[in-house]
Formats: sequence, C-alpha cells, structure tokens
Amino acid sequence: MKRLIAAAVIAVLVFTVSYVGMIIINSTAKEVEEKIEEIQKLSFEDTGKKAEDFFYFWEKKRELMAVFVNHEKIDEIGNLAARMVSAERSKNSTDLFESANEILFIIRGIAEDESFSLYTLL
Amino acid sequence: MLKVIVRTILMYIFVSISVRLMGKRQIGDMQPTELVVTLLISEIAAIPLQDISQPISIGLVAIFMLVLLEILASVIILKNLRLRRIFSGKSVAIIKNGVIDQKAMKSVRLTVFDLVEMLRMQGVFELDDIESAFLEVNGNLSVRQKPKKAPVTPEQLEIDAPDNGIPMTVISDGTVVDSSLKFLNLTRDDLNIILKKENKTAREIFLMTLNKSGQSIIIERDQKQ
Repeated sequence: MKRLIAAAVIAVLVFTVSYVGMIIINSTAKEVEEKIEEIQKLSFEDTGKKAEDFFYFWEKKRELMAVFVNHEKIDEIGNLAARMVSAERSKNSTDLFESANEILFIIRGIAEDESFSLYTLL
Repeated sequence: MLKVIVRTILMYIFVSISVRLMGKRQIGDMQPTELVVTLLISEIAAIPLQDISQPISIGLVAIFMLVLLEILASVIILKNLRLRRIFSGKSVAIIKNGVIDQKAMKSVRLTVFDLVEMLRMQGVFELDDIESAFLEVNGNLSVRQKPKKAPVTPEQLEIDAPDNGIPMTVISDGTVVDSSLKFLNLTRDDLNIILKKENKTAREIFLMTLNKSGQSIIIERDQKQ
C-alpha cells in the first residue's frame, strides 16, 4: 500500500512538473515570437529600444527556461539577442534582422520539441 | 565546476530515493524488470552529470517515471499470476526425482558446467545426492537433497535442541538499537541492567548482540574482543 501511495505521489509530481514545463515553454515561446515579429515589422531606425528590451526580457526568462530546455539553445538565443543589440548600435541592419530570424527559428524549434507528435515521440 | 558538484549531489539523492522506493533486492536476486530499471536509472542519471547543458529535470523525470512504472508493474504482477509469468518467467525443474531433465536444461540454456558449478556453490558435490533442483527466475539454483544424503537434524536424532533465538544487534558503535530491543521484548532499562553486570556503558561498546535467552556477545570500542 505504501508503495502504491508513493507511486501515486510520484505520478502526480512528474505529470504536474511536465505539464507546468510545457505551459512555461509554450507561453515563453509565444512571447518571444510576438516580440521578435514586432521588431521585424519595424524599420531599422526604430528597432533600438525593442532590441534592448528583448535582450533584458530574455535575461529574465532564461533561468526558468533552463529548468526545462537544453542550455545550449538558451545560450544561443541569449547570444543572438546580444548580437541584435550590437548590430543596432553599429547600424548593421542585416545582422539585426538575421539574428531576429534565427531567434524565431530556434524558439519555434523549442516549442515544437515540446509538442506531442509522432516525430517528437520517436 | 560548482554546477557539477550540485548536480551530482542532487542526482545521488534522487537515485538513492528511487532505488529505495523500488524495494530491497540485491543484484543477484532481482527480477528481470527490476534489473532493467536499475541499469536504465544508472545510465539516465549519468547524462546530466556528463553533459551539464542538459536540464537536470529531464533526468529526474525519466528516473521517477521508471520507478513509477516499476512499482505499478510489481503491484500488477503481485495480483496476476499470468502476468507474473510473462514479466518474471517461472522456475524450471532441472532435476526431478534424482534425474537430470536435459530438455529443461536446453530450454533455459543451462550447460552441464553451469549446473555443476551452481551445485558446488550450494555445497553439493555429488549429483547422486540430489533429489530435485529448480532454476529460479533470478538465476539462482534451489536444491533439495535426497533424505538419506541430507544433514541430520536434532529432531531425527530425537535430541532436544535449545532454541536461543536469533541474536539481535542491540548496540551498534555506541548507539542503542531500540528496534532490536523491541524485537526481544526488552526495554532500555533491561539493557542497562545487563550492561551494569558487565560493568560497561553503551558508549564503550562497539558491538553487542543479545538473544532471547539473554546470551550476549560484547565487543568493546577500539579494543580487542
């Protein structure tokens, strides 16, 4: 009986943590997509503050994301966010929008990895 | 480096809890599913330690899922004989009425050398001495000797053998083991009376065993027996 209770507690813990993780990843991915798409719609001259905001936004989110996502991917997004800021300061529009695209690509990949599909399961 | 230290401590704690939850078994006594789960847990636990870019939660979730499945499987197997046979297999009679069943040996891929070795480990050196032998699901061999070859018991000799009971460890490295005293229906006061007779205190004792007849063995700390 004790072991069954332990098993039930473990099941609840595991599924809760997984479910919460899935929600966190999906909501963060959505936020990142919205912010990046906003930047992409702007002209280069107006991207300065948004790029910086995104950098600090990601700095706040990365710790929580690190609990559920591969740290290399998180670091990559962080590096790309820094690259966006430096591209804006050095007036390099190509670099800025390229970095934005890459961030979108990575974050969509992270969200897809969390989704339930035959591809991700196998 | 600090990351590795913290992760190692966390994984050690969680793996210990997991193994504890799975129940007490030695490697040699494990059912096939238990052995598989134990091996998998050790592999999974190593991943976040070797690759610190992997989130530790992935390893922990996988380990706890394995433990959960093992507990559920063990409960189901307990209730269902047919499933038990599927998951754990069944014992096979290798020797029946003193005769080796060669077909049974082939079915479990047991060679003659394996059989003789296992018998030797059971203290049996003559095949003629054996009435039956079973290969158990955990790979151990259970042997029953022929009555004429089996060791004589006091009952057969009509000797009244005293039953002193099992010796329990009541003091371990200076600490009194209350559960052992409870098993012997004794209290700490009873123990203190015994210690007083020996002119000792619990703290001076490395090991003390006691049986229900009151016979004790005392080994003092940092001294010879």
